[in-house]
Amino acid sequence: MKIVLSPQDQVIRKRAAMLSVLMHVLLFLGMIFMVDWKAVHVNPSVMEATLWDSLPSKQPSKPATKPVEPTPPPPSPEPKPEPKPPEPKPPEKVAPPEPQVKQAEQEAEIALKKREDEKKKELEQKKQEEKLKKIQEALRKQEEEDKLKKIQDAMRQQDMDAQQSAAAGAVDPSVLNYYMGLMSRKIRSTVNSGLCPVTNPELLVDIQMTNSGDISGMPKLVKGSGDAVCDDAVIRAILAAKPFDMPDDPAARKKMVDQIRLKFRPRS
Amino acid sequence: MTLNKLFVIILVYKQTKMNKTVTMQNLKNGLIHFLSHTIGAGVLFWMFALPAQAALELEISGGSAIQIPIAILPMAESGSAQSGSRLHDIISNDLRGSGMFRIINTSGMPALPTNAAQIKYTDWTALKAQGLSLGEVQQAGGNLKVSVQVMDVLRQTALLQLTYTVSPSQYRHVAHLIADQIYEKFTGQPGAFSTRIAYVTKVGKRFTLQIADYDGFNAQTLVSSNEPIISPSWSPDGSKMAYVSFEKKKPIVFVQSLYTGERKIVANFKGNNSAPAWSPDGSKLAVVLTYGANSQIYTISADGSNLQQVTKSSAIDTSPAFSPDGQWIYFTSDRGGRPQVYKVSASGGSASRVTFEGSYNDGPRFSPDGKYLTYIRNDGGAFKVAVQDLGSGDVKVLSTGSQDESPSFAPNSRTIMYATRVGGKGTLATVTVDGLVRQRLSEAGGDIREPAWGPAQAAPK
Repeated sequence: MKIVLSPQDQVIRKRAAMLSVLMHVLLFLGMIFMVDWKAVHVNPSVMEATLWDSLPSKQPSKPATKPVEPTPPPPSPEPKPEPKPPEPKPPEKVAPPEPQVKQAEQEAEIALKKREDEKKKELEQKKQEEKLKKIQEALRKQEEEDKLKKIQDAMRQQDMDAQQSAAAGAVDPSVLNYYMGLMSRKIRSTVNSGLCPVTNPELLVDIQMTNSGDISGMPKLVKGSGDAVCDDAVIRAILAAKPFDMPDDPAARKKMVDQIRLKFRPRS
Repeated sequence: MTLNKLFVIILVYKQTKMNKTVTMQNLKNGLIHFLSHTIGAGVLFWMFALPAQAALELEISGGSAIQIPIAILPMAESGSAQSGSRLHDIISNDLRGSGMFRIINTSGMPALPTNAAQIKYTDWTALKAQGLSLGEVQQAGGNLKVSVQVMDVLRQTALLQLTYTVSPSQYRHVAHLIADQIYEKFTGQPGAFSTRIAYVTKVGKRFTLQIADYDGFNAQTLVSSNEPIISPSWSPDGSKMAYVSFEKKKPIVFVQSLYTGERKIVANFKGNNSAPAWSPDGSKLAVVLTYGANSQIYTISADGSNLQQVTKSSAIDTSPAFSPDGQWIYFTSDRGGRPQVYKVSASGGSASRVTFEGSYNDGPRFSPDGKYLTYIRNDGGAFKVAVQDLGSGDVKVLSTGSQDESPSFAPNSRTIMYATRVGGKGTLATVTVDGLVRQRLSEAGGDIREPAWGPAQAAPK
C-alpha cells in the first residue's frame, strides 16, 4: 500500500528528520563530552610512587593515570630545548660607505642591540634555572616528607604490632628465663642423682603448672630412664620442689601455666 | 585442596591467555604445582593435627640431693616389756647410718599420727618429708605383732604395709627387717641392716670370735681361745666360718659350721697357714702358706683336699680375695719393693699390678657387686681405708683413723666396715662407699678387731 503524504505532512517529515539529525548530533557531542569528562576527572584508586635515588636533574613527567600494575618509572621527560640563541642574522647588505659619523652611530646601535639581546638571554636562563631550582626544591621537600611519613608509618606500625602482641600474650623472654631458671635450680636441689644409673640416662617429664606455682595432678613420665628407682626419684624431686615462684607478668605467668616439659640428665 | 585446584585453574587460564593454547607443558607445570601444593598442605595439616606438644622445655642437669628425707614416727607399743631403744629408734639409726636417708626430727610436732587416717600431709610436706613411717606393736600371746605403714608423703599414698609376728627376742631384728624394706623401697637396693658381722674381741688374754647383728648388738660367741684368733671369713651362703686360730701354737685354718658349731681343720701344712678367703661358689678357699719357703697363695677345697699353688714368686704374697666372678684372685705382694695389690688368675699364672697410687696398699676386698675394691692404704704414715672404683680407677680414702684395718663390704656394696682404734682400744666403724657417712659401732666388749661383714643370706639367729 502506497502512502501518499500531503504537502503539510512532507514539511513535518522534513522537520522531524532535521530534529532527529540534530538530536543525534547532540547525543554524539554529549557522549564525547561525557567520555572526555570522565577521562579527565577519573580518580586513581591506587597511588603510584616512584622513588628516586637522587634528585632528577630534569622535571619529571606527570604520573601515569594507569596505576593498576606497577610500571617502570616513567621515562624522564625530554628536556625542553632551551631557547636557542637567535641565529646571527646574515649581515645585511651594507650600503655603500656613508660618512663616518653615520657609520659610528650604526655600530653603536648594533652593539646596544646585541647587549640587550644578551641581557634578555641571561634573564631567560636565570628564570629557567630558578624554575628548575624551585622544582628541585619541591621534589626534595616531597622526598623528605615521604621519608618522614615512612618513618612515622613504621613507628605507628611498630606501636600497633606491640599492642597487638601484648593483647595476644607475648612474653618477655628475660622474665620467663628468670623464673624457669628458678624452677630448674629448685628441682635440681631435690634430685638425688645417686639413685640414677651412672650411664646418665635422659628422662622427660611433663608437668602442668597452676597459677599459684603448684603442679596440677601428677608429673607425667614421658620417657623413663629404664630404672624404676631413678624415675621415681626424679618424680619425687619434682613434687618435693614445688611450689615454684611465678612471674607477676600475666603473659609470662600464662606461658608457665602451660604444660612444661622437664628434661633430666641426673648424672651430669 | 580447593585452593590448590583453584591455583591450577588460574595457572592454566593464565597460560591459555598468554599462549592462546593449553600445551602439554602447561598442564605438566600445573600438575607439578598442584602436587607440590598438595604435599605442602598435607605437611601443614599433619603438623597441626599432631597432639599438642609441651609449650616450654626446661633442662635440669645433675642433682644435689644426696639423702631422702623421711620421718620415722614412734610406734604405739602396748604392753611391751622391751627396754632400751624403741623400734623407731633402731629403724632411724639404720637408715641414718646408711647415708641414704635424712631422718626428720619430729620432737617438735604437737601430735603424731599412729595410723594413716590421722596423717595431715601438709604438716609433713612443710617439714620436707618424702616418706613417713608409722605403726604399732601389739602383744599377741607370747609374741609381738608389729604392723608398720610407710607412706609416700608427696603422692599421699601407701608405699609399704608390713606385718611381722616375732618372739620378743627378735625385737631388734624386726626393726632391721623394716629398715631393710624401707631402704629398698626408696633406693632400689636391698638393705643390709638385718645382716650379721663377725669380729674378734680380746678381753684380758682371751680371744673370742663373735657373731653379731651388723650394728654390734646380739653378739654370740663362735669360738674362744687364749691364743690369737684372726681372719674370720664368711662362706658365701653364710652357713660356715673360716678363721685362723693359733691354739695349736701355730696358725691353722679352721672351718666351722654356724648351725652345728662343728669345725674342722682345712689347712695345717708345714709353716704358717693363714688368710682364708672363700671362692664365690663356696667350693674352695684361697689360703696363704709358707709351705715352700716364703708366703704364697694357694687354693684348697673346703674339705681340705686338692691344694694348688697359685702364685710362685720370691716375694711375700698374702691377703688373697676372690673376685665376685671367681676368675681372679687379688692379693698383696711386695714383689715391687712395697706392698701393693696385684691380681692373678684363680688357676695361677702371671700376676699384674692393680694399685699404683701410694706406697702401701694392703688387704684387698671386693664389693659384692664387683664395682669396688677396698684396701688399707698408708696415707702419710697413717693406715686408712681406701676404696677404688674398678670402672674408673679412681681411689678415695674414706676413713680418718691412723691404724684402721680389715675393711669389708656390706652385702649391698654400699657400706664398708673396718676396725679402728680409739683411746688405745680397737672398735668397729662403718663408712659409706661415697665417704659421706661414718659411724662407730658399739664400743662395749673391750678390744675389737678383724671384722668381717656377712653375706645377705647369713645364718638365721
